[in-house]
Amino acid sequence: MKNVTAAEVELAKQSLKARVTLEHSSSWRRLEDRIKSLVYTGSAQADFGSAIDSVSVTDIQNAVSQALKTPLTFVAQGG
Amino acid sequence: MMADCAFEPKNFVASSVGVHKNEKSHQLDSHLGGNQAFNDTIYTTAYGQNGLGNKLYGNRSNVSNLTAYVVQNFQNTFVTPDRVVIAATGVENHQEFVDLVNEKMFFTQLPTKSSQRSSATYLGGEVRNLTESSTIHVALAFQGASHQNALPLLIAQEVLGNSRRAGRIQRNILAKNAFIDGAQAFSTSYEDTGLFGLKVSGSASHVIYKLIFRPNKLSQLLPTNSVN
Repeated sequence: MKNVTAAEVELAKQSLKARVTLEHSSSWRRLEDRIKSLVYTGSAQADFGSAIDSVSVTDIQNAVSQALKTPLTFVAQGG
Repeated sequence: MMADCAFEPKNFVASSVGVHKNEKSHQLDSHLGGNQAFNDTIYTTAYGQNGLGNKLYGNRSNVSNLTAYVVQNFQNTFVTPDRVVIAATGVENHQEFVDLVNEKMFFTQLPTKSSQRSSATYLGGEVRNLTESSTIHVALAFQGASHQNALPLLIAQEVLGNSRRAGRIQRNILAKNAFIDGAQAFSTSYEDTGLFGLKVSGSASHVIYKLIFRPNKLSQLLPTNSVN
């Protein structure tokens, strides 16, 4: 992720926003996400679009870098 | 009616129904294949044998232990006012709905003390369930972000590629390795922690050779509690 470009991130953001919009076409899924927002953040009025837009390339690189510092979980199942 | 379903079925009939439903769901699970079992193994490896490491649908051996006492004890422990969220959609008159909930909840006897939930602790580790199958599924994961900080890793997942969107994984792994049938990034978030990683499936002989028996850096990444 060190060489991720702003264009790649922008496309990914659009994809994620499209996924959220699709998920939220169901009122049950909207309600579920609002409940989660209420429980986890204290506010039921989560604006996912703005939140996604506010994430920078550096935020992503830092998050991935932080994750990769944790111990690996390796599972192999099958032949 | 929903409040009654959640708070009141404290009798033997309700628990019996629960037992039979769980028996059926476990039978169905065994017919539907091993995807859930694979996910359960990932979580057990990552978090140990408690909390998030427990099987999503529980252990088959515990189904017969579901008695009325167990159901009542679960309700008394976990269905408490501070854990209850009442939400509705399509409500025309909000205040009328609030009044209705207050009226019903006023008469509902809920225990006031709730148990403290222990937070999930990520451990990491290694499990190899190798069989005679011609296909192998491999997961490589790290500790992800909690629900509040989930967005950067969700976007990273989109960059890498998943079942909905082709990304770097599709370009760099699927396109260059014909023996790999599927590869996707995943990022899941919970209250305390998350899981971020990559799942790969493909021809057993090639994937085993390339990913399991020749991972130069794998042993350095694995924690000391790894098991075979």
